[in-house]
Amino acid sequence: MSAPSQTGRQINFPEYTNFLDHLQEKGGPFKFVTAHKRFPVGSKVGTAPKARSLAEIRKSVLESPRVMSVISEETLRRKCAPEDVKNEAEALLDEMSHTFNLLNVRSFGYAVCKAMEKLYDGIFVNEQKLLEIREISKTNSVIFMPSHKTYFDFLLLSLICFQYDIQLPAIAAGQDFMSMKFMAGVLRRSGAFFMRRSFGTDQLYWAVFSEYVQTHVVNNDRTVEFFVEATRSRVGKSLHPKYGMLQMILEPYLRGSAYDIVIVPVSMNYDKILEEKLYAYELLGFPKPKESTGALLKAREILNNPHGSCFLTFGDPISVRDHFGVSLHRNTFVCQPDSQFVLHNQAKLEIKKFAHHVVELHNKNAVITVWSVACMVILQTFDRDDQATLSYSGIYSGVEDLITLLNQLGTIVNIQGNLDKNLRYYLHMHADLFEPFDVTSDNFQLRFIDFPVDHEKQGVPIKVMERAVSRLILTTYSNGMIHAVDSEGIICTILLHNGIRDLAKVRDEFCWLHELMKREFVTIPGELPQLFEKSLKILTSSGILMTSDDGILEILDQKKANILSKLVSPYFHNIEIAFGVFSENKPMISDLGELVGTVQKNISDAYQNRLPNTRLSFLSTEPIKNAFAALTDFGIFEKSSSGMRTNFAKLHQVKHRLANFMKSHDFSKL
Amino acid sequence: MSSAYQTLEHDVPQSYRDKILKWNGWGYNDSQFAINKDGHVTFTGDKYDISGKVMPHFRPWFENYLGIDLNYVSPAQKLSDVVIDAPVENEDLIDFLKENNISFSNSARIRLMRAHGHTVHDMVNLREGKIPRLPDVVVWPKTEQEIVKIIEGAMSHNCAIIPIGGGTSVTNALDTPVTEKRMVISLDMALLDKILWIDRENLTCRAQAGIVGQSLERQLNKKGFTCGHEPDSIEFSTLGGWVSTRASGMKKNKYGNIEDLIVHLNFVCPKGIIQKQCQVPRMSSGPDIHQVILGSEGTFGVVSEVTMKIFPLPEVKRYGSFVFPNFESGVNFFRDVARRRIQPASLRLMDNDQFVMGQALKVASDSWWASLKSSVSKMYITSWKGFKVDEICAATCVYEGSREEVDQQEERLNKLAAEFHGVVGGEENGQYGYRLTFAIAYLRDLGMNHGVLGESFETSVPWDKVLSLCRNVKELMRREAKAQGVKHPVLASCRVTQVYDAGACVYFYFGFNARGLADGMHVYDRIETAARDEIIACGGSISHHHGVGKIRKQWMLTTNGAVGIALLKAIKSELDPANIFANANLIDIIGSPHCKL
Repeated sequence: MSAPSQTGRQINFPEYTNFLDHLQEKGGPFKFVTAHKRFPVGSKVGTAPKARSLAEIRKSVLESPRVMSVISEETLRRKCAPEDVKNEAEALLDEMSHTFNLLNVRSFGYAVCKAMEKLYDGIFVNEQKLLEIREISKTNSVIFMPSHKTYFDFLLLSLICFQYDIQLPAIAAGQDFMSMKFMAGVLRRSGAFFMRRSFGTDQLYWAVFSEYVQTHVVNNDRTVEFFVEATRSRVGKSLHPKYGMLQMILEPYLRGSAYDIVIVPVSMNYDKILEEKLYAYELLGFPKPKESTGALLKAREILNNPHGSCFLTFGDPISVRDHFGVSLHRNTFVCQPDSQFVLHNQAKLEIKKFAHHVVELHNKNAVITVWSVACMVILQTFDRDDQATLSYSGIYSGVEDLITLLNQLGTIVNIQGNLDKNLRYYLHMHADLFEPFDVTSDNFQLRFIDFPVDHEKQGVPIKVMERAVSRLILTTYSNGMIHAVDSEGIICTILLHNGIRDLAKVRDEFCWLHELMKREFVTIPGELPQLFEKSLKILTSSGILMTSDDGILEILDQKKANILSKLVSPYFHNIEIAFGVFSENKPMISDLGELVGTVQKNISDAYQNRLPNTRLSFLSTEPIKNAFAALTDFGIFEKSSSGMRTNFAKLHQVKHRLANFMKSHDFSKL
Repeated sequence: MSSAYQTLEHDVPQSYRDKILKWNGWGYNDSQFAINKDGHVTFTGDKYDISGKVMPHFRPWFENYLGIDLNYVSPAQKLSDVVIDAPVENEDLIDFLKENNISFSNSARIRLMRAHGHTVHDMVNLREGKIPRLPDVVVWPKTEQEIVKIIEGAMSHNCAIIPIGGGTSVTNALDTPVTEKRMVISLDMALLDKILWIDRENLTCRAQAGIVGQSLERQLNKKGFTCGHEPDSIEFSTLGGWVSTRASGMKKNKYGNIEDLIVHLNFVCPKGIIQKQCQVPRMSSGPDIHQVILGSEGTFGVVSEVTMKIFPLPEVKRYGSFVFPNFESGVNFFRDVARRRIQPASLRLMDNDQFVMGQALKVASDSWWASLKSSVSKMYITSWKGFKVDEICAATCVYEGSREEVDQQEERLNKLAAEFHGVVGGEENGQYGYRLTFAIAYLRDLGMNHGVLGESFETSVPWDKVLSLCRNVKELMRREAKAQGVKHPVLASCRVTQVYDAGACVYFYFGFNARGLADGMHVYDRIETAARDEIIACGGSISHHHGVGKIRKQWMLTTNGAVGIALLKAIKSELDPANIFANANLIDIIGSPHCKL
């Protein structure tokens, strides 16, 4: 068992068991999916357990006071017959509803099991938590909030629930799935329901959808699953959370219609992400292939490549009643009727913080793989010399050093067997990135292959694009460990580059930088000072820093501080380049799209001119978007009727403040 | 009982309170649940229908539902072993009372009998001989003028006053604040118990505030009237107590709550007497001063006389009952009754736990449930209608009016109940339900003899939140009890006892076997506090009719808001600047010894 303050998990039996072993023991996928199941029948507090039919669920939504009230409002507003609005509500409900059916789950499950068996060496889960969750689910609504990096997330989670006799979740899925006619049907019957990406002011949709979600929570028909990051993270690290769905789910507790709701954060980590190449192309700005069944089927050839293991770490179940017991007073909501429930700002803020808290738990419980560390080391090698030839022994020693440092900071890197074996295992698994090599020889050279690109893009040469693909893939994996060192890296960067030593001032800068980077490194709003204290404690107890009695910070271990700083500085360089482009632009822009191409071109030019601190992976659109969003938060892009107006004065202030940390001292020579 | 001080007395009246009431339990001395020699539960005395009868189903219920071992007893301390501290002395006041020929006594037992209400705390203290601060002297005014005199005396001789009516408070309202250093006078209203006049023309009646409910009603009945106000405590509570706690009666649907029944009243406070100039059905003369007095819980002064509405006795009084498949259907039925405004005089819904408990309390001869077990009607309910024994719940009602009216009401209600899957349960079961109300109050004493701590508390709540509030509060009591280490099953039950246009009154019963807990009362307190927090979080109120007293003061600020509390304080400092009425109910007065500010 890992100590609570630790980041990362070591996969060991008996804490983790391998689902694929269970599958074997049971006699393979067919026996597994046809086994007799004892799912607990959901019960809401105070009533006997009762399984509701789909028709009953539907009826409860359409007859809910909220939906009925909106129907009569809309009838008046649209000046039409109530039946028209009612029919529309029914159509909306049909569009979103799942059609869960256990028989269908069993047959679809068979296909999924077969695929899993073929794809993975192991599917590891911390079993004890699942037994705990099963017990809780008998009397409380359980909400799974998994991290989201691949479509496999929800397939795996449902499979594991099936294995442990936990009611399979009703899964909130994006509506983009619905274009895949066949798959959408299968997913529906497996318990997925669909939400529109945005339904801002459509009162009817809002009422029907929230009642639909909430009826599941209130009646505890099944567990519910949704992704707080809303979409798959293409970049290997957590996305800034979204709040709408969480608010909707918590509402029944806040207005007393559910006694308690239990949230289970689930960290889902993969040795190799199925969509890795798709993501890289997508991030470079090539149009995202529409999710079509055909595309998925083509993916079958992917099944023949090894994909290592996946790791499902179920966090401690969080009772919403306990969590919000002191911060959110339900008695402030009671003056509004249940059918007109509105959250006040304080409540929204607390729920936001909770969403971030869940993301933090995703990260804390995430398995950090040797591969993730290796990618970090490789990218740093390219920072020194972009044309460098990589040797196995060089990567090995870099990985070993970095793991030692991480361990010192209280971070666990999951090593299966010995490091050498484990590293070779990963190189073999990701061999498709490299020109052929012999993984069994003592030492060998590694050369990345270029991935084909159709055409150049806005002044970025094809050659550069082709090389960038593998760099983006590497970055995605290296991002898998950054949450373990981001805050420590920021503190070291401030001390090394800015010359500030005073504790209070360092804290100010720390908070400002984290605020600026809140989309890159997810933190809890309003709790940055606490995060600073925590990170400082880690740095001082590992002997890298010390705080003198008069509140002055001193670096004790220059080398390690420098390494930590270098782990985070690429993220800053990346947005710095974007800021540079933004500040040279015309004062009015229509939207971000206009700028992305220009930023990419600048990055490509800088790269070709071999300017320092420029990575090919910066071509990714994600950090550019994040940089733009950060400035929007800072009030630098102001929306007006004709587009976005740039406040250059403010932008220069931000640039200037950021530049203090980015002075191009090269400390690697120290 | 031992006390080491000289008793000072003058013209002490013979009072029912000292003669026929228990000193450490509910109700009459001769009436209680007991275990007979066959090991069955029985009820003693001759005052109630169930007196002298055996309840053969009760013991198994008691043992199963609360995990009670009847062989284990936690006996109460004997009265003779109770030690009473000497009172705070104040010779000047004693001389003043003598000079003015006012009845008084400081005898230990008389003080003890007026020092408490009926919270579980009060009872545990008495049973365990933990005697809190008592009032120092008891006075019995015989006229309104004597009340004025007593207040004068208290002001000139630095004393505090705590008025007492029936003593049935369940809010610690009668407790003497421990920090009170002055001599505390218990103002016993028992001698002000007369009806002054009955006005047949306007259908009103004026009575002195100390009159006990059952006496008022009996006298009115003899003359062909009823006061229409029938709280569960009617046997012991007084007219003045009803006013000062904003009481509610069972039949408020027909007659109204106390605030609807009052036409005029006299209120004596340190500044003088508050009294309106006329007795009219309604007037617009600024904010209604009566509303300041209603619910003031003895903090501003004392009610001396009341004019209230009376009503001709109804031609017919009939009971009714319904059985519902579950609590939710019952609540939905109630909601619809309120929506259509067809509520009979009284309408109550008990949940499954209470339904089962009620059946267990049936006496040997007429146990409906027991006879149901083999009968066709049981078959009808459980097999034909598909009701589940552990979900079933029952409603009882009272119809009052002319025969025609009652017939009509009954038919309408029966028809509506059927729409909510209700089955008509008959008149006998309805009547039984109401009779039980009086018996239930005695039940806690039996429980206490065997280690059970229990209480009932109530709230009011809007219709849309009734179900979730009932569900959550019961669940909280169960979970919290478990978390606090209670080993046995917990009784967490509720009933809907009143319907209003905009909501309902909900009553909770909570009890658990405290055997094996280091500090059962502490556990009890934590659960009751958590339950009230939950009630408020679910949209319920601080209280529907029990009042605030001291036990619920902590929720007054959230309930009324800071400005509201400031207003109450301003009224207090205007009417009673020297804090003579120092029972410390409702709010803390800055500068008074019990204030934490």
